[in-house]
Amino acid sequence: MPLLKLENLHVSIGGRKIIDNVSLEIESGEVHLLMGPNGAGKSTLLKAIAGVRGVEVVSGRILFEGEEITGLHAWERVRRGIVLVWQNPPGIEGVSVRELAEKISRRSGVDYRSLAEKLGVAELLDREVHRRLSGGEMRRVELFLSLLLKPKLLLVDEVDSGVDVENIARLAQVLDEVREQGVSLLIVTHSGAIASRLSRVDRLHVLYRGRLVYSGDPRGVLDKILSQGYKVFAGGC
Amino acid sequence: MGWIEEVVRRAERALDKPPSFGLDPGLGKLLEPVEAWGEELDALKRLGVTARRGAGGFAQTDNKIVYVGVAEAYRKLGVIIMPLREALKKIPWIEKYYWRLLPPDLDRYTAATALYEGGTFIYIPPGVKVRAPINVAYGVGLEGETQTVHNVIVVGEGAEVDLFYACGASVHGVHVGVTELYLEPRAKATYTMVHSWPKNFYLRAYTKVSMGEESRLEYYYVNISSGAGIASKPSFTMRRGARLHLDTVIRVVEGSKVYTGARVVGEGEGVRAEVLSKVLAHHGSYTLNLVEVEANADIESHSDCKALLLGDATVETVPKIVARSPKAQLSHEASIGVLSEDAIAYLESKGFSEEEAKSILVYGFIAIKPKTLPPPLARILDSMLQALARQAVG
Repeated sequence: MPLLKLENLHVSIGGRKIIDNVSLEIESGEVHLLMGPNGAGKSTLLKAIAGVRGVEVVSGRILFEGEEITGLHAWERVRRGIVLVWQNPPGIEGVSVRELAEKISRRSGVDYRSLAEKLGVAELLDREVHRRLSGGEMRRVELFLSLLLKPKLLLVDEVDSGVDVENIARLAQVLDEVREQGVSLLIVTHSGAIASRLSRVDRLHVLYRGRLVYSGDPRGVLDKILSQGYKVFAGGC
Repeated sequence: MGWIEEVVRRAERALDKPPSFGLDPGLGKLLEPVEAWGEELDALKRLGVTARRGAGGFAQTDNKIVYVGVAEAYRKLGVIIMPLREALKKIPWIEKYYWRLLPPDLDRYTAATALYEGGTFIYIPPGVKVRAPINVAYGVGLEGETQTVHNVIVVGEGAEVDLFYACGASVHGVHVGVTELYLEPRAKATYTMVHSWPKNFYLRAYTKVSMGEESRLEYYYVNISSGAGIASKPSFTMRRGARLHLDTVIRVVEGSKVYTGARVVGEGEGVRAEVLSKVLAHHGSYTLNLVEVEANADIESHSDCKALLLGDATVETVPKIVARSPKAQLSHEASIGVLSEDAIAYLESKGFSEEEAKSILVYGFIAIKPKTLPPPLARILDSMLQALARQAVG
């Protein structure tokens, strides 16, 4: 049984169709990349899987560990192990990273202090959540808060966007370690920068104008995208 | 005619005088204060407050003074906590501080307070540093009562104290609180006040603070439930080098009408004031928030008035800054908004239910970060804010 199964998923936001008939499967412990040009619907697909409010599944089904979760709230999905790492998380005024981490830890049982040390965010614990942080700091804090939730499936949105080479390598190392602990990963990347630094990628999916135009072995296709861009998918693949 | 007789004469003439600010619920049953040792109101215990801990305390239920006490060590140092009426009889020099910052004939509520006043006199002698909080609690449990309390507090030169006030009620009525707080030069004080009022209950508070040279004051006010209405706009006169940090949170419940704000007057060079005001406005409520800062010298001040609408409510925020000195640096921010859908969605994706997410956001909005408040008081304040956030979205 796949960990995650999407069946003919159609998704819209505010009545506008974004995702068109997407199906895919992720097995436990696998690492999948989801690529596509700007506006292809990559982030929307992740949010639909995570159950984020405002993202509406018009038709199709989402199954997690064999259970249909299409109608569940986001927090109910989190409790089943689906966790979204946001690309641009909103700032939470007046709440420190520590306060939020303590609340999450109380529920998940993960020791936030040691994880903060490991991810290099210990010095950011008393800062407000996602306010007045640099892009790199924000991504580290977001990954930290997400990993505190003990995910089985981590949905990572554009983790490499605007991050320098050194930090991309560091993030890839963290994601490798997460995968080694048995967590499945669905990683959205526009540039593909993180792909070459991950020790393992099992499958690559390419989303183009809301449709999945490629699902399969990342080898070859990834190089093609990096050298020629997404126009090679304009007529289908 | 002595000053006390003068106060009484002026008050008697003003009993019909309507207030110029806020609602005028009228005077209900007025009762002379009496001593009646006993238990404090359950409502106050629910707020986590007792007058019996700390360096000393005072508790009054309706017109009954149920507890007065000063820890022996501080009594020996000259600290006084005494029912105001008793102090008027025993301490002649209290006249220097009694109805000197506020006029007894300001309106019918100050007048009624002058004539029927309960409340307390607190005196910290010069140089005495009180290392445990002084707790004062007022409760109203008598239907239709207008409770009139008058707090006269004097913190002597170089003295230090942490004052904690809690007020609550369980019935329909009015609480009139008059506070005259004197910080003598170089005195340091924290003043924390927590209120919770039921539906059909009115608060009229009159607070005036005189801050001497180089004095320091941290002033926190948390109102968990505004009842039927509030009129409260504390006023601070600050002399050379004085520092004020004011942080207030009011939860304006459904149908409530709240007239609030603050007035800060900087009279001397080097004054610094920070005024933070947060309003949580529930459906069908009205709030007027007037924050005024007046610089008569080279002072620095920043005020920030924020309101969060939790329903179809009306909030008017009126900032006023007046500079009469060329080097005064005054700034003001004001904002009115609603809970961010994006932030709710984000917190839901971190495992919190919608209600929990809203509660976290409300808590963040109202968060008070005390500067020098002793840890036990900071913990009480924080638990009040947590409870307030839960109630606001519950």
